[in-house]
This record gives sequence, C-alpha cells and structure tokens, in this order.
Amino acid sequence: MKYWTEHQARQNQTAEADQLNAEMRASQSAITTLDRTQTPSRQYDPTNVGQYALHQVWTSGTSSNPMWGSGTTQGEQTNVRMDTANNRGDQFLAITYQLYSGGWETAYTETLTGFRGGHLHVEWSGQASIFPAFQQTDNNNHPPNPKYMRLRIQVGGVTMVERQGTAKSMASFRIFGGGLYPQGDLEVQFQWRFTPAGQDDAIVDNGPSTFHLMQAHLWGNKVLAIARYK
Amino acid sequence: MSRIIQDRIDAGESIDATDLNNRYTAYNQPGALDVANHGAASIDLPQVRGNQLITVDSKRVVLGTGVWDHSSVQSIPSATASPATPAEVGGGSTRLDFGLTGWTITSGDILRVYWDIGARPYITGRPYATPNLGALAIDNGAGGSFDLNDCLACWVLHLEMDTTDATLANFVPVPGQTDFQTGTPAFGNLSQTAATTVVPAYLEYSAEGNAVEGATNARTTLDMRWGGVSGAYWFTPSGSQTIYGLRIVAHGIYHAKRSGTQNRLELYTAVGGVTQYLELTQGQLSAVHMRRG
Repeated sequence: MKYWTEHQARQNQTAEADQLNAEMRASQSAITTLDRTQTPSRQYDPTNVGQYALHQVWTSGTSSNPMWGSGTTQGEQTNVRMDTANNRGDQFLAITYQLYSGGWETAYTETLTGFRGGHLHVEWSGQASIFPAFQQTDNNNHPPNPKYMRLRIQVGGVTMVERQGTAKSMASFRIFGGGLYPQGDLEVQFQWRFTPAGQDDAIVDNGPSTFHLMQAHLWGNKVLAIARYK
Repeated sequence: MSRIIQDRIDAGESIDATDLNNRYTAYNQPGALDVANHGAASIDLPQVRGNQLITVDSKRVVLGTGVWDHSSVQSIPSATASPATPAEVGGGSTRLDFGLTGWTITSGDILRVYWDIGARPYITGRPYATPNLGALAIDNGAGGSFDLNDCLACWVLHLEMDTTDATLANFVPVPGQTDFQTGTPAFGNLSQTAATTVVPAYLEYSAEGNAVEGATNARTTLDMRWGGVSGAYWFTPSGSQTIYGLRIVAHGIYHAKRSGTQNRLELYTAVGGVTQYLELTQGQLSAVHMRRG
C-alpha cells in the first residue's frame, strides 16, 4: 500500500470525479491492508504475538535425536542398501553398484505442515562416505571418472539448492538454501546421486565370497526448515 | 484493542476532506490497531519491541588454537588402546560458556549449534595394510589379488554439553550422540551420530585402471592436506533443559563396521601410533537459541 497522497486540495480548484474516487479507493484499501508505515512502532513482543505468527520451525527426528528416521538406521540413507549376505563385515550396509546404476534417489521426505506462505530456509547436515579408489580408468585411455556424492533439496518437486557433493572417503557436509513459496503444506525431498561406475571399477572383492563392495553411504543426516512470515 | 470502524461512504453522498482526514487520523493513532487491521508485510523491525520474538540468544567463540595459519596447531594422538581418550578442541579455553544461569531451552525452543575448524590428518606408511580393516583383495588382472584399502577410516569430532552447573566439569555428549566409549573395541552406532564431524584418516587410489576391467595392480597413496570441516546440531527438548556450556572433542581413528544390520564406527587401534595423528587449527563454535514459532 502507498501513502495517502492521491490528492492534495487547493483553493479555487475544480474538483473532478476521478480525484475523489481515487481518494476513496485509497481510503477503502487502508481498511484491510495497513502497511508497515501505518502500524504503530514497538507494538509487538513475545507476550502478544501468537504461535507461528512471524516464523515456524520444523526439524527431523525427535527431541532425543534430531536425525531423520528411527531405530537402528536412524539418520541413514536406506532406500539403496546392501544385504548382509553380500557385505564385508568391515564396510557399511550401503550403496553398491549391484543395486545402483545412477540417477537421483530420495533419501528422506519432510512435509512442512501448516506453511503459511513466505520465505523458507532449509538445511541438511550429515556425513557421506564414498569409495573413491577407482577414479582413473584404463591406463588413462578413457576419461577419468571422479566420484562425488551429489546432493540436492527439492521443494514441491522443484530444486531449491544443489551441490557437487563430497569427494573424500569420509566427509561431513551441510547444504542449505532458501526461497519464497506460496501458502500450503510443502513436501521437501532430500536427494542424492552418486557417480555411476566407470569402465574399470572393481565392484566385488577377489575373495572366495566375492563380496559386493560398498560404494557410498549417507549417515548422521538431519534436516531443519525455518519459515519466515510477515 | 478494537477494530477501527468509520462510517462508510455511500454513493451519492458528499465527501470532503474532513471525512478522509478523520479516517486517516484513526489509522494513525498509537495503539489503536490490532492484527485484524494488518495486511501482508505490515510488520517489520520498527514494530517489534525487544529482541526475543524469534531469537532468544546467541553466542560464538573462536575454537581451537586462535591462529588461522598453521604456525600453531593442536595435535590429537591416535588411540593405541580402546577406548580412545577424547581431547577437547582448544584444550578447554575455547568452549562456549553460557554463564552462571545457563541457557534454558524450553519445549517450544530450538538450540542450533554450528562449528567448523581447519584439520589435517597425518599417517606414515600403510599401517592399514592387509589383513586389517578395509584391506580389499582386488583382482590384479593376472590371476591374483592386490591390496587396495577402502579408506573408510576417519577421525571423529563431536559436540558435548554440560547440563549440571556453571563449573563446566560435567560434559556429556548431546542427545543423539554416542561417546564411543563402550564395546571392545569401542564403537559408536551410526544411529547415534547426531552431532558428529568426520575427517578422513587416509586416502589411496588405484593409480590407474588395469587393462582388465575391474582389476588393479598399482596404487597411489596421497598425503592428506589441510582442509576445513564443519558440523551442525539441532536440539528440540520435550521439556525445559538448562545448558551451561558446549565444547567439541576429537578422537580416532575409527573404521566402518557392521554388527548384524547395525552400521557403526569401530575404533581402529591397529593404525594407532605416534606417526598417526590429527592436527587442528582455528575455527568457531556458535549457538543460537531461538523460538520454534
């Protein structure tokens, strides 16, 4: 809304209908849309502001553990997960190339119930483990195949933020983004995409059991969302 | 506080400056407006009294040695016996101290904690060589096997808090975080790593691909360089919880393991020794106490 500056009356002026109509419209609009120039200063403090009036916070997990999910896999990526029969005991039950050939996978979905429209800030923090040993290829005759655990956050199916991801065997990460979103419950998806196997990747070990080799894992994951309303 | 109501303006009725001025004056009188009169974007900082509508408190401390370059470092020894002894980052002088009364986090609040620091792991040789953890027997392309490590080993930094008193003599891991002190060898389940930061302990690659697909017979072991690591933790207690201080501790080296269907980090004493250690420099530890809505 604008200041009340539609018309300034002057002596001996000829009044025209549009001038009065403009004044009236400005007057009426003020009834329902007072803006910050007309709202009294220093009016609000924690004692007279209702819950979620200005902001709202969502977190994954529980009061005793902020990580997503529950039970023995709390905080882990579980939608692509090796079976114990194929696992070396000194690796995680996690992503293998026998189970994963590429593409985005959703590790976790958080629904922001009661979002009232405004600015949304989302954070995702955790650890990523990858097996980076086979980044070079056949005597360098082929392009190298650097391994990344790529990460992105989608809100309502639209990417809010995406990053190249971690490249070391054990790494901590934090990815966060923000944007303006309309009112309504929002579905936020936390997704990963690991580099597919190159030409020379060893995907099993050479032991008698030919265990499948763990290629990547996400663990210690937790998410936070903060909405700012005005 | 009432909603402001003025006589409406009817069609055909005369309108003059007094009508409009009265209405304008009504809207501008202090204390005469409530939420029913407000439109979108009608509240900003000038309308707010005090500073605890969203953020209740915040605090930050320089973490570690206090030196950004690498002229002064804190060295964390690798454990040769189980369990590892956690070393406080900064040696006790760079913890977050919330004072005599502490911070009381209520059920409607959230405590957000963030930290970062410069880290460099050192290792000499290949103490992790076969038959140790992560030693993979990879097809060497000539009918045999080649020892290549999976490098799923790491140092751990985790967050602790003191909920006892302001003397800060009773730090324990925050809820959702293991202390890595139980088991033989000591371990921590991944489902209890809510406030963990990891630093890779060592790294080696297949030097280049073998002519036989899925095989290798050469490796390159890389010296790890300085790098920044960071962590975050969010605490939403079900009841009131007073916290007097926060600190970060570091320990290692751990390796990936599983027990049944439970993934864990297990202390890896076979690689412990004076030539394996972690160096830390400076970073920061910050906390924000805010309302959840």
